[in-house]
Amino acid sequence: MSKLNNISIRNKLIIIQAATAFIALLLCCSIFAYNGIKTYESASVRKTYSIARIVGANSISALVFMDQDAAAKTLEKMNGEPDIQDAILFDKRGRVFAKYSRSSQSPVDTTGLRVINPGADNPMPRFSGSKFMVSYTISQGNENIGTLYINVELVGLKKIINGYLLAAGLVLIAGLLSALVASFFLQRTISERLLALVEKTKEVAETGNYTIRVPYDGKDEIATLSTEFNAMLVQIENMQSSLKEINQGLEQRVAERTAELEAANKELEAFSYTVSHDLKAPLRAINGFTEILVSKYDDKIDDKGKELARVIVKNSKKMGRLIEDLLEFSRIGRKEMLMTEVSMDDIMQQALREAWNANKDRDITVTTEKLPPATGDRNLLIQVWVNLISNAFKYTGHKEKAKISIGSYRQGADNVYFIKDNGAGFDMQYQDKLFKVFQRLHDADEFEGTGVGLANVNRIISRHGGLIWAEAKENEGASFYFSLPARDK
Amino acid sequence: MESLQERIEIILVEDNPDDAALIKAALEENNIVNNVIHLKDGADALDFLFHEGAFATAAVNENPKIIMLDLNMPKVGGLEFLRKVKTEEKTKKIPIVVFTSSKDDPNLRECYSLGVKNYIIKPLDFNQFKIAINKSITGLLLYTTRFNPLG
Repeated sequence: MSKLNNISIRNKLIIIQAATAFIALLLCCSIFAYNGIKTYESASVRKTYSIARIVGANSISALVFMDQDAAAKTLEKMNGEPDIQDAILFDKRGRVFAKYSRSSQSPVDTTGLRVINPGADNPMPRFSGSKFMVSYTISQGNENIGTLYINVELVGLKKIINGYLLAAGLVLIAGLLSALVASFFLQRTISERLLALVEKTKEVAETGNYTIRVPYDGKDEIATLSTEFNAMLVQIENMQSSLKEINQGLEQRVAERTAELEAANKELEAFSYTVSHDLKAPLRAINGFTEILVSKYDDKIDDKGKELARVIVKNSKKMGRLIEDLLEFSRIGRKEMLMTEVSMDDIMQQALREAWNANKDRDITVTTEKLPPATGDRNLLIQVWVNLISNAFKYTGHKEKAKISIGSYRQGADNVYFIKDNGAGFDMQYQDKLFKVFQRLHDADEFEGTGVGLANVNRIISRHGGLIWAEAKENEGASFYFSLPARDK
Repeated sequence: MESLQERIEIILVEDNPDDAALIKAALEENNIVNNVIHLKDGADALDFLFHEGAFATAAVNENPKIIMLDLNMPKVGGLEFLRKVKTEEKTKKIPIVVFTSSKDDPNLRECYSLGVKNYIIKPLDFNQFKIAINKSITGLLLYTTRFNPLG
């Protein structure tokens, strides 16, 4: 079937039409030939019976008077019939009485031939090929006096069959040719329109031009197919244009939003810059001139005055630090992140070394585990560890033996990293303030700092898609946990 | 040395008079006593360098040894000043130290591409300011011959 599918519709239609015509003609010819032959055969049988009746009637006297010569002469008269090959006349006892053979070269052999049951019913002749035999019972009054057998071969039948074959062949060829010619023209009404449809479909597929329409006429299935195809094209065209509109709208909106965001971002940057520039300049003057005042007018200011000057310097510095921290907090929020694979172990150890260097004289036990890597901005993650570790060092400052442990565990698709200390801890009822900017749970006198470190850490972790939380007990220690999506999830 | 003292060796372009005073004080405390002229914006500084406007009749024709420049000034800003100075044959080789208030200063990048590699982010703490100025100036004056740190 697959091979048939490869033939074009045009050729398929021609083949189908020609084959149909051929089969129909072949059937017709066969029926005509069969009918003709049967008619000829039954006519021959009827004729042979008539001859048998005539010859039988003419042989009665010869049979009665036992005149075999006369009987032979009577049989001889059948030589006018070319189909009658031979004939045998049996007497009433079934013995051969007289015989006739058309060909003198091959006379019928009657040696030992007898009719077994003379006078029995004469059956209808049986054909064997073109040959058949007719038997006829000759009777006088009610008495059977002999039986006549005539062997017939339909010599003309072959000729007739050949004639039929020739005629059928000619009819078939002529029929086939005219069917081919007719189908060649008729198939156009189907195949050409289908081909046109195929061509247009190809064009649409290749050019993506959905404004193309398939021409059609008539009301048949192909016309329906074409109109449905056109309707489909209209739908696609509409969908495409509305998609285009939506896309354009979207693009425009994205462009607008991007512009807005960029403007907002610029504004924010400008604001941060202004804050740092404009707030720091007067502070710098306060700080600088106080220092100069103390150094240049050293002899004119008493100790009380110098103490006051120190307070001014200290506070100007503190305010400067607050400004810097605020700037850092805003920078962390908008800085573009450069995501790479970060060895959390490396950066934790690095932050730890820095903290050690700043606390060389203290008795601190730090235990660490090997940490799994994370995906993130290396610099920002470094800030996380620096903040958390320096916090742990800072808030264990009052403990004689400080203990800090750093480790991690797996929780679903995340890795949770933790740092625990035995330091000052905090009251859990204030934990919601812990990660807010400039919120402090300890007095500045006790532990210095501006309260921006954990807010920064919180921002960094949430920008990485993680969470941060803490557990603590006052004067017993604090544990900080943060989660980051694991690399192998 | 007396004649050198009269020559302007450092020009300080700074719109904020307090910052200018602090920078001068810092120079002084670093024992740098070369003649410093303070100009309040880029326009004045260009006039000074190219003998135009108020400085059209100035007798001194030699370039200063160092330009100390605040990036953020009204009228002719630091960048505009730099673009001009760095393209003029007469001035493009003068060493420049740039001051800015913040490392977020968006102009720093262009400043760097204009060939200025020496910049100071003005620290709040005066002592740090002194140290920063000392480092920058000493680095630049190593390439000059007539500088006398002892004044």
